[in-house]
Amino acid sequence: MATFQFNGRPVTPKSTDDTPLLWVIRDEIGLKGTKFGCGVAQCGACTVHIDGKATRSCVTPLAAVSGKSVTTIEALDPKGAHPLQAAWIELQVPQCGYCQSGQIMQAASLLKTTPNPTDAQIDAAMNGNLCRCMAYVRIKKAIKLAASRMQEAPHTQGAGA
Amino acid sequence: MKCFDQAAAKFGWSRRNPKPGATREGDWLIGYGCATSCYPSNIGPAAARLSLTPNGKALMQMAAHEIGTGAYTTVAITVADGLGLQVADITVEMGDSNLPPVPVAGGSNNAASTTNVAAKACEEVRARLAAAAVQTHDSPFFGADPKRLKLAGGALVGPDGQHEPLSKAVGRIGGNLEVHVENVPEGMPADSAKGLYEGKMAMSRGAGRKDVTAYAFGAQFVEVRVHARTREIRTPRVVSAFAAGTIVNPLTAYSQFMGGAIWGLSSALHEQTELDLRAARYVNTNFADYLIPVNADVGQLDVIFVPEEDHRVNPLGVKGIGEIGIVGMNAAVANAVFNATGKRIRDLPIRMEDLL
Repeated sequence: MATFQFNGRPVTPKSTDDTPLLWVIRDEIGLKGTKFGCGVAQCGACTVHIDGKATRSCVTPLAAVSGKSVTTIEALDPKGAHPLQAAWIELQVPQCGYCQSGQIMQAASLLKTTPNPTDAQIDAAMNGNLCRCMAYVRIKKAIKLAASRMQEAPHTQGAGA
Repeated sequence: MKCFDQAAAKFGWSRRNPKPGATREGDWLIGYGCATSCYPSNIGPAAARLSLTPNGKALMQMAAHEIGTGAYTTVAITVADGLGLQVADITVEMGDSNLPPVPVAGGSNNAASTTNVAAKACEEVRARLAAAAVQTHDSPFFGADPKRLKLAGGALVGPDGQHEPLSKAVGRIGGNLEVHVENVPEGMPADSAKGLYEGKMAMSRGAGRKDVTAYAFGAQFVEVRVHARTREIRTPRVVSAFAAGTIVNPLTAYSQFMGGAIWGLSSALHEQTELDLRAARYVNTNFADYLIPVNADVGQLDVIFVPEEDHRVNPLGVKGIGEIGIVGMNAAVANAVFNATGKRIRDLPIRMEDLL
């Protein structure tokens, strides 16, 4: 049984060690913000942070997060007001919305290590996050907007992020 | 040709060298291409139920489906407009086959079908409130022509500035008003809404009418860069312009045009289902092998809305925009590839091996 920090509190799920983290998050813990897309780490919809780094939860077995810190979209910011979330709302980024929590978690991880990313750095970091509505133009715009805001006022990370 | 004029100006088409393979920057061969986009303005019979409470809240119900394109919002905007209320006052219910039937979301008919029946329901509400108001002695509208009464700003409003809050106007006819309406588009048989209740859809198609051909129109321009050595194909710029009748919600319309243009790049350069004919199986059944664009594949992308009023297609002048964003892209990309390389490719997707 794996014990880990989940959105800032310790949890010890009942699922077996080889259960994908995504299933634990959605079905056992019951948070639905993290999405199932392809199940084989090819689309990015299931992206969460593990020790602050964007990771595909659909191919991460529960045992692999033992002792680590997992953050989902629900706890990226205590009020759901991370600069990326604010930019996403301001620019009305999503169309259908399904891939967007994964996009935001991936982008949040990028901005931690690269606060002022170039187009090429965004392209490289977001390469594994697919959007079938093709909202890419606004996704890139929102990442840049959030980055510029965070330069002015650095964001205090949410629980366990 | 406003779409072509405006998109060409934004794109810089005048800088194009018509001679194939003649424009080069370093190792990159540059080509410009454009194409027409058009899509029939389809519309089907539809039904809807609309209720209005005295405190100015409306409930619009129809068995439409929201597939991520913003159907709830386009209907809410239409009802708010028709009843003189705010969008926040409108609740839209869809996605339940118990509700009054409308056509399936397909063939870009959804916005035209649902908003026109919604507007008709609003008109029915207005007409009923007006008819009651002009017959009541103590109403400010007594004796007025009911056709000249409007719903605006949460009130019933007369031609000479008389107005009455909805609480009174709706209260007069018993408190809550509910109407059920059917809309049969012009040119269709009067009974063509009947089949909807048995799951049978009918559709008036763009070229199906005798009096007009109803189409939305657009022009799409693409710059491609083909690497002279590897034949890698990139698309740094796309400009599209569309004249598609009344745009109910510019925000969601932009999404649809933007997404359509990128789907078009995808269709032209990436997507293909590969079959293994011996095993009768699909080969590329995952996102690693079935290619769709990511951020890196999308450069600068502009969408121009060319204003167009066309009330002959339907009363609201709404032309569906679900699919028109993609229509011209394959041809525009292929034309740009020709301009860049001199190779005329007629099979999609166009890949580097086609340009060797």
